[in-house]
Amino acid sequence: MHARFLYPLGFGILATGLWEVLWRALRIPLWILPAPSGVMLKLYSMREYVWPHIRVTVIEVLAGFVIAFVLAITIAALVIFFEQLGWVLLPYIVIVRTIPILAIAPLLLMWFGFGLWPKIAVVILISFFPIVINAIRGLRSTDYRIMELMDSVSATRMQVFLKVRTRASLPLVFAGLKIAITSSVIGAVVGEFIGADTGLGYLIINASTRLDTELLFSAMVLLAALGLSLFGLVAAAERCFVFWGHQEST
Amino acid sequence: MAGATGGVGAPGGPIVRLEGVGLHYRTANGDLLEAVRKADLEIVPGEFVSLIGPSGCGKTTILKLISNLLAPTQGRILVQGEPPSEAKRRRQFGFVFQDSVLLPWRTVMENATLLLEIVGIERDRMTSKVTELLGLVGLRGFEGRYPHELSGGMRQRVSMVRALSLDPAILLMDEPFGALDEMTRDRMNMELLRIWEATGTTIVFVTHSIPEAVFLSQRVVVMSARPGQIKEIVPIDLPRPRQVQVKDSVPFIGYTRRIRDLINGMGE
Repeated sequence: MHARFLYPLGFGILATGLWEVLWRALRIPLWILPAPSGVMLKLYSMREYVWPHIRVTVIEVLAGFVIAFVLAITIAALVIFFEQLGWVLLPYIVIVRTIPILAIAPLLLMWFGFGLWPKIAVVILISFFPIVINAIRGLRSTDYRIMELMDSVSATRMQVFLKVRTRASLPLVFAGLKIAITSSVIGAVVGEFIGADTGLGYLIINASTRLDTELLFSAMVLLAALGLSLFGLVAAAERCFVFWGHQEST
Repeated sequence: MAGATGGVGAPGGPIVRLEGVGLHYRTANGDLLEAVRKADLEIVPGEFVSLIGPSGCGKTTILKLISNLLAPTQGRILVQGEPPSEAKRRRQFGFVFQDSVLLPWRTVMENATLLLEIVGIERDRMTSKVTELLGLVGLRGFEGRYPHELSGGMRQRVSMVRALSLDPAILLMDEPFGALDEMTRDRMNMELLRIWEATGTTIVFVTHSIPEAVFLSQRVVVMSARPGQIKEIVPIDLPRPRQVQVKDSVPFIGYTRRIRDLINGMGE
């Protein structure tokens, strides 16, 4: 394995080992903090029970993220073609971003019911902003001399958009997607806190009311794994699409 | 003479003509700035002319005025007997900048055909045209490479192929070799002269380097700053085809000294 992955993995194992040793040495009560070994055993013994909760959260995260992505890219493209639309929309995009999710969550429950949709709505609300802001910036990030060249052959705005802007925007679009995918996981969990009967967020609430710290930490471990994998997928897609490297200005 | 025959101006007349051209503009804090003052210049078809002078003397501005990226506030500009906007519409201008400004996600071939794609040339003709030009600049075999896999000199050659792909009558070059090391620059100078002779294009070349201007040009336009104006036009009478050795010759050194004195204000 590559050192790039071995180093953080080694750090994780070391930290967990230290935690285990200290936990045993200091005799920390289980209701304050569980031991890593206990969390792992819990996870293993409850693997069948936990599985549907993982599935629901993954669906919420992916659905919300994909919808936010499509919406954000569409709006960013429209803003490039109709600048005034950007003037109208941008303040409201910022306002929507500043709405405390907890304040409107009960409303979302009323509007969309008790199922997946209010959670997906929260994910969209949270992950839309970083994608749209970075996509607009990316689509505008074209070298003015390329624009002069395109102008010298009377290129249409659509040609400039398709042949230059879309690809030139990718480094920034991916910067936005990386922020959005991790926010999406938080969004789904927050959505589940408000009212759910499945999902890792529900599991956390459930475990904490029963002071089942081992289950609580199990859910957090699963969330961490989910966040890391999704982030890794986005990063892999980035390496594939932005193969020329960010700093390349030519 | 590729491209240059498309003009509608009087035969034998200048391809570019600046008559008392001036450009004023307002800066962000409201000051009126004079970027170019009373510039008169005639360039004949097929000529190689360099613009040289200190930073801020308006060299690049002159290129932008000729190619209609800027409009003069005084005087008049004619390209092939018409306003520059007309020549631009007929795609008579090719551009090469200091950086190659290639699209990093496109291969050498795809970068070279970019402008042809915009114009809507059919693929077969496009490929054969660009393949010929890539051969001319010695990039045969690199068609599938990406810009980040090329050296600075090679990238600049791709940029030249892109500029020449539409057979422009006038090639506008803004310090195209300024970012290259001296050895690469010398080699690129030789290549440029070869391409110029092969295509017959008119070249307007902006540079900071006096030896480069003398080596390449038929005439060197010496400019001064604040306000930018043409100080003197120096014809360079050196034998062609020019070889690197000419740089050690007495007349060459005479020209560079004269132009340096003009730039430093001792030429009067």
